[in-house]
Amino acid sequence: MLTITKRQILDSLLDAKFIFMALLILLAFASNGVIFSAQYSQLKEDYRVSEAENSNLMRGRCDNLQRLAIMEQRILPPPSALAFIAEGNSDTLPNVSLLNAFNRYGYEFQHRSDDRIPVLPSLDWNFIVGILLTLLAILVSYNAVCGERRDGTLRLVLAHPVSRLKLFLGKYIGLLLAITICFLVGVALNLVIFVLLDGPPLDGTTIQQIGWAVLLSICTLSLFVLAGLTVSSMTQRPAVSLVVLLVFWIIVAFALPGLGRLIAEQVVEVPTQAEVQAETAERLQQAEDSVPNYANFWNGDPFAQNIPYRAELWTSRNEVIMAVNDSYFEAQINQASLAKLLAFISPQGIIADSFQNLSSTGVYGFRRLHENAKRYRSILNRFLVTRDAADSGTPHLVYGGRGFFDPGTFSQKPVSYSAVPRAASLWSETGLPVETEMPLIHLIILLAANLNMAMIAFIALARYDPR
Amino acid sequence: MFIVLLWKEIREHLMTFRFAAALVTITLLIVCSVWFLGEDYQRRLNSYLQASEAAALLEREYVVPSEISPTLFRPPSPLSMFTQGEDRRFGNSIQIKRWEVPREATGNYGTGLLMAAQAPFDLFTIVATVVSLFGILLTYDAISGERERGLLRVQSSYGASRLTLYSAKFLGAAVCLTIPIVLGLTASLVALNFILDIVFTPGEWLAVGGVAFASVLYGTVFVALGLGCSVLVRRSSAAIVLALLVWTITVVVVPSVAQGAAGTLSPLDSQFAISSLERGTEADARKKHEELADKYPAYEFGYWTSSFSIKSERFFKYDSWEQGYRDAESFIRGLELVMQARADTIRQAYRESEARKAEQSETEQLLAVFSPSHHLRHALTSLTSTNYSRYEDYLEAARRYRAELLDNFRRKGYFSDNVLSFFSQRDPEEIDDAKYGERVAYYRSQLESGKRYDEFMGPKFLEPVSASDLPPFEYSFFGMDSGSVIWPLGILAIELALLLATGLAVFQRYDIR
Repeated sequence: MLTITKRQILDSLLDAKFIFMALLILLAFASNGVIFSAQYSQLKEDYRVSEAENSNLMRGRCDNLQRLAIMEQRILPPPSALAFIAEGNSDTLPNVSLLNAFNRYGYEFQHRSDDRIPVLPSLDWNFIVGILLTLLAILVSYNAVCGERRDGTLRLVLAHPVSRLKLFLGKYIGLLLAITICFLVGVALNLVIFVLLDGPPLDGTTIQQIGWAVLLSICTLSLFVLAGLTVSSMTQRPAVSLVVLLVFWIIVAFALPGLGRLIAEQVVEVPTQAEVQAETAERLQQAEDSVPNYANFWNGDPFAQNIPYRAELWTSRNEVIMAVNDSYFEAQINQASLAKLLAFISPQGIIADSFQNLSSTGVYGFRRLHENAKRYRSILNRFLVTRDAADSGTPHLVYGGRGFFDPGTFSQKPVSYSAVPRAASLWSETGLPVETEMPLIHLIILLAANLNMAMIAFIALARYDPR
Repeated sequence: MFIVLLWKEIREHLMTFRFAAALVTITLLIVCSVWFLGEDYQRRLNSYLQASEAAALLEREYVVPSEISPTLFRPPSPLSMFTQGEDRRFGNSIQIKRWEVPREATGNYGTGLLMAAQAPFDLFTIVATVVSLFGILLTYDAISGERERGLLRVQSSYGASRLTLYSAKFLGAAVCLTIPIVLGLTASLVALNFILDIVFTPGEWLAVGGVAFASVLYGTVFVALGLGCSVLVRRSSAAIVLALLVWTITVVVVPSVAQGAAGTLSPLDSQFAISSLERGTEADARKKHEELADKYPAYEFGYWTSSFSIKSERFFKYDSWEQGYRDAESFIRGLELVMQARADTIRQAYRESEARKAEQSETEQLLAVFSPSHHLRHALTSLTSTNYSRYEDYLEAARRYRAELLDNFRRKGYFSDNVLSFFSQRDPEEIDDAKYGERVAYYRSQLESGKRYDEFMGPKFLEPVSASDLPPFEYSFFGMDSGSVIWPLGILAIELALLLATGLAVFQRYDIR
């Protein structure tokens, strides 16, 4: 068996098509290194600018708690150090959350990308593994069995006292190792370029996530090798085998994820901007109607009789805006999640999802921003409310709007700048969640698919007529 | 002879497994994609109609010209069901504001933000990847395979020239590739017409024809590529691998690399820094605004009188209209200068950023110049009016509209001398000091009796602005720029001609044994 494996590796590695394709893949990995090093430092700079802006604003307003409370912050999450694994169209998603201590006002797009250039898959690992390496897997395995039959070597091999199981295992391991070598060399090249060009940092967490990405990639490639062996053991001519595999590949790599998105858009409908506005207006009117008319008046006295109603009105206004926005963005997230789930019938869909999960980009990145904005606002709110409670000179009726407040209804005392909670603490330095998730589900699905495919491939080979 | 050979080629292709696979896959995918996107288009169209209607209702409620800020909607492109392009990616409504020139559109017609961000699975994607791959699969063994089976020798004994043989093989495969594209498009058009009731205008039919032509032209480039590889390499299994490599590089890798490399080679300025500058100038302008308001406490005098500023203490500060009017005018003139300076600063920053963006997209164009899929995208997005320049046209139309609106009101005397600001309609009652005093007394009594200001304010004293005072917004979703269609198609045709010529030249010296 070892001999078969060794021969298969050598055969593959020395094949012209393998060499060309491998060179292309190495080139892609190298470009990934260069492109994402530059991109990471650009995004890091954007993050620095946004942090400086928030800090400056905050420092200027620490002399007065009330001014601090209505200060609008623009929360730009730190860039993911692992965007090179799956960029997840991050440069077209909403990426800045607008909030103050009372309300969250939605999202902005602040990207360093050119609108004139259409949305294309970027050159991340998701692309290199899902498209290029799977194509390589097909190219090396399509003639593993039927090619040997045509050359007549299959009969020679079977003339030796070697079982078909061993033949199968030898071929499978040999092919997978050949591709894995190419993949790992590319990964090493990619990471070396990051170190040389001062790209994304490679620390404990990122290395661990990269390790997961490598493992998942190898599982995916193994699936395609097995598919190649299966088809190769079911056809007589290598050209037919390749045609069948290519049709399979193009359906799995392009058509299924694309159709999944189209279906998800039909199933989960997202409200239109006009509907969201109409709902907000209606619910704001309800809030207005539920308090007496004089709630709106302000005569400069924070202890006036109508102030509790005024506070109630503003609080419910804030709640309405947040609730409507949240349900809108959660519908968006659900739609995108369904699209991903539907794409799970394709291995490329599985790794696209798990890579985005690992690197916290795409829908995962947006969801994290959404959750962290929620958390941060409530932390900030709690902090300010506690400070206000300690001040005996206010009515302790906490309210405010967008850039608006009634002087004196909230504490005007100064606060130490270092004590104010910051949004940056909700992300780690590398832009990944503080506690990273393990893509175990993805791994289990891929392993199960591998096992199934291996059985089919073996049965096909066992029944193959070597003549 | 040619006809006989062509007929033979077509007949042979029609009976192969790969033709059946191509037929089923391409037709199904086209029908599914156009159908789903057609439904999506209808949803967006309904949403557009609703939104415009709601906006028209709002416009009827304008009371003073200073409150007018109409929203201009961009209709969805009906041909976006063939190629999504940028139709869903960018915003589709612009609110016209006094102080700023429209720079970008916001809002959407119920398109998922997270979905619009992904490359859509439309006819373009299907043609660019699936059709081109089948183009290769149809011809990779046309020469080398026939040579392997010995058929080539038999055929050349008929006395047909190699040119005839080669062109029959090319045309036969091209016809067979056209069948699934045309079938898929026809089936989906029939479905759209009869089930979704989508009717195209003649101009749009022409564009649909253009889409079909561009798709077929693009497919034939790959038919020619497969044929060329088949001549260049002796064995058909090597030919397909060579063709596949070229396909992978030009269709899949180059566009992505070009995009990434353009971002690295000509980087953009931080967008965040620009918007931060904008917010900085806003804070600055607000400070100056407050200073002016302190100096001329009449700043809300006559300017907002029809709406909420009645609450303001300042309204009651003046005993005579003349004095209040003078202060109000000084305030607005001062404010105009502040806002003008701010607008200039921002415009300068954005102009530089736009120049950098144009540079980056030029780099991308240059890097992707050898990729046929790049040109197909340009051709299809131009044909279906879903390219970036259509979006730019919309922005341009909105800017023109704003200028026209301001002009229109200035002509009617609603404005002060400067372009940017305007007073409310001057009510003769307001100018009369005695009437003015009466009115202030009336407001005061109403407020004191516990009424809300909006219960006694508004149209009672002022004639509302008629909706017919607003100029109409003219923008058509369908506007094909023939130049941007002909160029990419021309390049595709040149690529096709080059591939055919090279293949034929090699075939003339081909050893048929």
